[in-house]
Amino acid sequence: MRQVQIEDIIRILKEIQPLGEYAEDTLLFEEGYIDSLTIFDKLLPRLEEAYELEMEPTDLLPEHFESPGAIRTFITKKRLTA
Amino acid sequence: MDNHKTVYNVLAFIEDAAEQYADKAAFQAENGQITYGQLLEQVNRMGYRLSVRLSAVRKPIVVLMEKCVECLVAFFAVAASGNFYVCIDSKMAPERIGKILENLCPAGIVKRQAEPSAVEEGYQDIPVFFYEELVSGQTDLGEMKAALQKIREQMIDTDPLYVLYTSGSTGIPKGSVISHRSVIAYADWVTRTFHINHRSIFGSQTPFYFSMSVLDIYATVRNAATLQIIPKKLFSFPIKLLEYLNEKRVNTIYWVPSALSIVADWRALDYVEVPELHTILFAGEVMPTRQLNIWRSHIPNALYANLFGPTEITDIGLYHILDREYKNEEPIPIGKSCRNMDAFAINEHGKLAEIGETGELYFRGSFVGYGYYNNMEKTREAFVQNPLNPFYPEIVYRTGDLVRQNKNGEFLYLGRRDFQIKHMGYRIELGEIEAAVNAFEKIERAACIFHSEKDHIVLFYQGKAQEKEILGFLKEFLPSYMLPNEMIRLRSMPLNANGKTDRNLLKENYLEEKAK
Repeated sequence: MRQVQIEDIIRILKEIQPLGEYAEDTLLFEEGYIDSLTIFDKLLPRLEEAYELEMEPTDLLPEHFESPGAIRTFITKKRLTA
Repeated sequence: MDNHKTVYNVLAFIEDAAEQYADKAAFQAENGQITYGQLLEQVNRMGYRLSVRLSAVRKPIVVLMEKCVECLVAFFAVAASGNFYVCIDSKMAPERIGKILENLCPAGIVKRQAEPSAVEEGYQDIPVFFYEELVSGQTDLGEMKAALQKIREQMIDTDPLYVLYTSGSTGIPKGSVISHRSVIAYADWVTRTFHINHRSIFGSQTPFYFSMSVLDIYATVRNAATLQIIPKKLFSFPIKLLEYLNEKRVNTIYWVPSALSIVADWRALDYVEVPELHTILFAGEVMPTRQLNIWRSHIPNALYANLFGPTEITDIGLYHILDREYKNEEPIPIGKSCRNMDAFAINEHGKLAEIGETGELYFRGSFVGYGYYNNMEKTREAFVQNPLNPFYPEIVYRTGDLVRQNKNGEFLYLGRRDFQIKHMGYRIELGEIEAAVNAFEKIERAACIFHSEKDHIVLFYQGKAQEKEILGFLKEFLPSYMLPNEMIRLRSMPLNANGKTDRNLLKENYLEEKAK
């Protein structure tokens, strides 16, 4: 199973919001790169597709989506327990 | 609140609340709160200092802030200065802010020092007042009191309280002008209909530049209730959102259906109980019955109500308190007129529509605003002489919405006049088709467009459904001439600036593809 790369996460984010500047620790909500519209309609479907996962309600916690690094950590953990 | 006292100005709400509930929280947010006593004090001080700087009354004053407690204080302070407020969110698109300022020509802009905004350049002729300066510092109390009283005595209830901008279908924002009198009448109706009192705790979801916030704000202050400003981020995390409601003991919510649907779709109510929540109101879009039923199955004893109305009439003119079971495929009615308002439907012959007959929705009554600020042309198109009254001037608001009354006398929303099509000889509301599609549980979002040349109804949808399944489902509810001729699955539906489906873009893209 290929490791979750930060570049892939950033690529997905750039698809959704191309004008963003993304580093590993960029605060996505504070910078306005994601909100409740984009997270459900754009981010989650792309993550589910890219990593063959299904999101559960309990996955939807702020700490999982705070930054690209946080998303990577969260996806990695989820794949292990899937 | 004394039912017999005549209220001429919304500031009276705050004054009464401060008298009885000085130490009670009026507004609370992540980073601060304010009691009624503090609110009155700050509103008076700010209002006085604004009036000294402006030396003018009945002028528009922009409050350029993000959603926060200070924003609300500023609203009331502008009113205390004898002027009317115009809420612009600092995070709004700069182009849009520019168009609004061009139309409005405000006498001033109130903003916080720390908050940057696109308005920094290009509008140097408009005086900017910093919130921090207005609210602090020394004031001669005697002078202040006298000045405020003088302003107040010259204010009348028909004076404007605020102007709220909505997007025009042509792209130029329209500012609805609403008076103290309309808001006082509206707050009265909300209080009586939903039994709001000082124990009510509102969980605010909508921005302060949306008309739904008018209910949140004014029902709160009229009853010395408390308004919790829910952090926007939480609407991305349904379980956290419900936990927050519990923590703040929110018992009354008035949200857009999208927010309720997210909670329902992500089964957050399976994980978190919300025992205090007893009043669940919604408006702004069609509430999908399937998701509403998920809420009802978890919280069966709450009061649920569908509210309906445009910004032009303060907020709401029709409402329906859920009083029975509704099947998933059954649309929730928009109901009957608010007490002391009149909603009526005019058919294509200019007469009152009968039960079962489609008509265009009109509103008349005290909630109806004056029209659009500095836009007589658009105002005259929508604020018209009552078509049923040839005897004396009576301005009513023409909504452009199509409705039909069922045998209970409840209005049902059919769609916009613009989304009416003729297909295979039949008159069809695309909204009806969309409603049926949305009832299918594998559909997340759906929109229909009409390709008139090919006489094709095209359905765009977001969700894990197959074409065959959708068609099979629709055949149960729609006549054959209303079945989509073409179905296109999208990974995600394009949305416009208001968070609503961007049908224009769908149609553009579709026609482009077909032309290739």
